[in-house]
Amino acid sequence: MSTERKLTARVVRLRAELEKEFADVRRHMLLCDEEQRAFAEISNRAYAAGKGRPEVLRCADFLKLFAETMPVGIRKDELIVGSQRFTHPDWGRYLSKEQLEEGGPHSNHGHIIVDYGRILRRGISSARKELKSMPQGDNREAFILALDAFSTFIRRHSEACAQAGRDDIAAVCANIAEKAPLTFQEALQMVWFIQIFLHAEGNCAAISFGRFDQYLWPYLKLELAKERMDAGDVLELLCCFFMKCCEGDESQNLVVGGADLDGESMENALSLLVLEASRKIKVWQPSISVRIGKDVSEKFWKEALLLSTAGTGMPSFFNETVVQAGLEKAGVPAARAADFGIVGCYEAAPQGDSYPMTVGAGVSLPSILWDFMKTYPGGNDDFTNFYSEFKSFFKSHYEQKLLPSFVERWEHQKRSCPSPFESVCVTGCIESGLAAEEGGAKFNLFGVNILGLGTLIDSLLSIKKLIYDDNEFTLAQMKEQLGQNFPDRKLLLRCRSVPGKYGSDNARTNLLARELSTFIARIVISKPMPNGVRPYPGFFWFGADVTAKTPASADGRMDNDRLSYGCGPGVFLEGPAITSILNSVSNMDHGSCACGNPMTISLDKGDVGGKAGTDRIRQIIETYFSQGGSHLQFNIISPEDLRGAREQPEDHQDLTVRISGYSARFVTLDPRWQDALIERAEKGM
Amino acid sequence: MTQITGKVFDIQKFSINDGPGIRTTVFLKGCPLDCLWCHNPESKGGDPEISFISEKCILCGYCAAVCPNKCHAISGKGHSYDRAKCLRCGKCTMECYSKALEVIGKEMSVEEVMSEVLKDVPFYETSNGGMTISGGEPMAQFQFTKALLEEAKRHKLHNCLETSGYAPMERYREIFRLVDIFLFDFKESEPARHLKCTGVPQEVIIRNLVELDSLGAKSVLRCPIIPKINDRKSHFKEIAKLADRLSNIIEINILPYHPLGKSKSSRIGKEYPMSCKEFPEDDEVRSWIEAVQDSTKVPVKKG
Repeated sequence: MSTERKLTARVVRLRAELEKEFADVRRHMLLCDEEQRAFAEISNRAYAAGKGRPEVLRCADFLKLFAETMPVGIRKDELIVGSQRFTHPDWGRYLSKEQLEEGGPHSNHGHIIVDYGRILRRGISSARKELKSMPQGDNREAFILALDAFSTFIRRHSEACAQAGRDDIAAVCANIAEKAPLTFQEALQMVWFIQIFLHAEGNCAAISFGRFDQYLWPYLKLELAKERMDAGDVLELLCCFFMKCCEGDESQNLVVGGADLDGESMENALSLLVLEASRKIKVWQPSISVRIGKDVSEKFWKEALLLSTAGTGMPSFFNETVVQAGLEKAGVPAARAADFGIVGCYEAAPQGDSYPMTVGAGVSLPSILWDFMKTYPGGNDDFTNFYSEFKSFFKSHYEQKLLPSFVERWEHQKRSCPSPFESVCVTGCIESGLAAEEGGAKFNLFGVNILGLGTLIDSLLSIKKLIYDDNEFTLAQMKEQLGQNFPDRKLLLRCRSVPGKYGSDNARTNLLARELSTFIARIVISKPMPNGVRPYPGFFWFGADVTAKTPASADGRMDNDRLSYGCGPGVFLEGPAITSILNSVSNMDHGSCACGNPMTISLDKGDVGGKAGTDRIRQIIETYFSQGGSHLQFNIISPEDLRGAREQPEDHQDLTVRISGYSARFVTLDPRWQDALIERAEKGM
Repeated sequence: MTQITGKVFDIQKFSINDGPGIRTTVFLKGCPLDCLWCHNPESKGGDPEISFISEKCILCGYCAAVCPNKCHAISGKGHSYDRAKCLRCGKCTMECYSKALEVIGKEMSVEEVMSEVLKDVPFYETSNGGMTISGGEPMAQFQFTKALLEEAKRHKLHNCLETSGYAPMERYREIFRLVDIFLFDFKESEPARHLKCTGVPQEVIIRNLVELDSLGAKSVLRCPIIPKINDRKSHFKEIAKLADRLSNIIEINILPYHPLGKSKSSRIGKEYPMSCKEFPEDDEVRSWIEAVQDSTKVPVKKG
C-alpha cells in the first residue's frame, strides 16, 4: 500500500471549504448559526411541552421533534451527510433539579462509547423487535420513540439528498433507515447518524467512536475482497467522515489497533487507513488513539509514527496491557477489559456495554493538602508524622466527604437525564430495562479525576526539606505564608528552589510518587458505590490544571496559578531531559488508573526528522511503556513557533496542537491555555 | 569502586547528536585547545566558574548580602558583578533562587556520575544508545575518563568518546578497547591555520587518528565548519582525503558553526573572539555537506 496516495480532488475542495469556514467561526468546533437557533428552539419547545412527564419520555419527545423538524440537507461534494453544527447554550452544563424542571435540554455529559457494532449488525428494524420484548413502562415507550425518531431522521436525509439530486447518497440513507447496512459506506454513514443523534440527545462532548477499525472491518473486508472499493476510495470516505467530526464536538476519540483477549493482533487494513487519512487530511478531529501491545506490526508502527510527526498532536499512544489491568482492578472482567476504547481524552472503558461516566468528579490534591494543613497543629513532630497524618486525612476525607458526593452525583444523573437513544445503543440497557444513567449497562464506572499530583509531591518535598529537615521555617510560618499568598518573596523562591523535584528522576522522590499514587489509587478503586458502580481513578482532570482556583501551595505556587498537568511534574521543574521526566513518571501506579494517566512530551522538529527521528519516537514510547507507563502523546512544536502564533495569530491559523486529550487550533485557545502550552513546550512537556 | 574524581560541568540526558541512539553525555571540564569558535567556553578552564545570567536576576540582593568579598552590588542600574575580586566560593549561588548565578563545574566521583548515567539504561536498551564522554577534552582528565569508561563497560554500556585528538598516543592506546566509537574532531587541514585557530599543532592529532584506526578503533570524523575560517573547498577536499585513509570510519559529521558560545562566554565574564554571529543558512550547510561528499564514499551527515 503506497503512502504516497494523494487526496482526491473532492476531498481537497471540501478541506479548503472547511478551512474557510474555520476562519469565519474562529473556534475549533464548527457551528452554524442557523442550526444553533433551530436546535435551541426545538429543545426548548419540546422540553417545555413535556414538563411533568417522566424525564426519559421528555427526552424521547424531544428526539421525535428534533428528527421531524431539524433542518437537514446535503452540502456540495459531501459523501457522508448529516450536520452536527449545533450545540445548546446550556451545552455540557450541570443543571440543578430546579433548572431541569424549568425546561432546557438535558446534558447527559456525553463521554461514552456506544455499541456501534451491534447497531450496525442488527439495523433499526431488528433493534425495534428487541425493544418490543422489554417489559411495559416508560423506558420501553421512550426507547421505541427514540429509535423511531432515529429512523425518521435518516429517512429525511434520504429525501433531502434525492431533492438535491444526489441519488447515490439518497440510496445509502434509504438503505439504512430500517435495514442493517450492507456496504462500508452505509455502515460509516450509519455511525455518523448515530453520532449526530447522541450529540443532539446528550448535549455534551466526548461521544467517542471506540474501536472503529474493529466494528467496521467486516464491511470493508467484503468490499475489498469483491473489489468494489480500493484503498483510495476508502481514504476518500474516511477523510469525508473526519471532516464531519470537526463539527459540534471537540473530543471524539477513535482508537485503532490492539489485540484481543488472547493477545492476538486485531490490526487490519482499516487500522492503517485511519492513520493515513488522519495524517493526510490534517484536521483536529476525531482524536486518534492507538493501542500498543506486544504484537504491533511494523506497518502499523510506521503509520502511527508518520502521523505523530504530521504536526497535529496525534495519535495518543496507549499501553494496552497496563490499561487493561486498570480496568480489571475496577471490576471489569478480562474479556471485556481487553475490548477497551478510549473515551474523550484518555479514559478507557469497555466499548459498547459500559456506562463509564468518566468525568464523574474532580479531586484536587493540592486543595486537600491545604485543608489538611489548616487543621494540623504540628510542633514536636517530624515529617513522617506529618505525612502519615496527611494520608489519614485524605482517606477519611475521601470516604466521608467525597464518596458520598459521588453517590449523590450519580443519583442526580440517574434522575435528571435518562437518555433513551443512548440506552438503545448501549448493550445491557434493553436486557435490564434500565436507561444507561440508571445503571442499565453491563458495566458501570465512575471516573475520579485527580488533579495536581506533581504539585502535591513537590509541596511535600518542600515541607519536608524547609520545615522538618533544615528547620528554615516553622509549619506555622509556612501556613501563614500560604494563607496570605506568599508575602515573603524569599520564602516563595526558597520553596521553588527545593531540589529533587518530581520529574528529575530522583530516587527518593520516585519512591514517594510510587507510594503516594498507589495509596490514592487504591483508596479510590477499593470502595464500590451502590448499584454496582465502580469508581476508577485517573490522575487527570480536564482543564482544571489551568482553570481551577487553587490556593497557594508549598512548592512556591501562588494562589490560582497553574497546577501540574496529568500525572506529569509540577510547574517549577526546570532542566531535566525527557528521559528523566519519563523515568520519574513511570513510577506512578499506572496499572490502577484506567481513567487516564496522561503524559505529553514536546519534541523539537529537528529531533524527529527522517527515519531516525520517527525511530526515536518509537524508542521513547517503547522505553516508557516497558517501564509501566500507560499513555504518551507528542507535541512536535517549538516554543518559539507557539509564541509567534500568539503574537501573530493571522499568520498561524493552521497551527494545530495537542492541548490536552484532544487537538485544537492554537489561535482559538484561551490565552491562559496558550501560556500553559508555551511553558510546557519549553520544558519538553 | 575507584575513588577517582573528576570535574564535570554537565551531564546531558537524552543526548541524540553525540553517537548512536539515545545517550547520556558527560561533559568534563578543561581543554588544552583554545578554539576561536568554542561553543562550550565554560568547559575550557579546569576549575569551577560562576555563571551569571543577568536576564534571570530579580535584583533581590541576597547574593550581595552573603558575598565575603563584596563582588555583587545591586543598584538602580541593576546588578554589577566584579569578577576580578571573586573568590569563586559559590556562596552567592546558594542564595540565588532565581538561578541567575550558578556554579559551573562540580567535583564528582565515578560512582556519582555512573549513578546518573545508569538511570537511562532502559532508553539505551531500546535505542542502542549509551554513554558519551565529551568536554572540554576528556583526555585532559585521563584517569577519570578511563575509570568512567571501565565502569560503563562493566555495566555493558556502549561508549563513545568525543576528543580533539590532542593527547599522548599511549593514553589512547590504553583506552581504545573501552571505546566503541571515537567522535574524533578534525578542525583545520592546513597545519599553520590549525595552530592559529586552536592554539595547538595539528600533526599529532592526525597521527593519533590514523594510528587508532590502524588498531581497529571505529570513528566518526567530526568537522566543525566555521564561515570565513575553514569553509574552503580545499578544506572540504582534505576532510574527504583524511576519511579515505581510515578503514574503520563510520561517517563524517559536518558541524555547522553556532553562535551560542557568545552568550555563554559573557555569562562567565569572558571575551568571545569570533565576529561571526549568525547561524549559517540551511542551504549553505547543505553545500558544505555536498562538497565533502563529492570527494569520498564515506557517508557525510549533518552532526
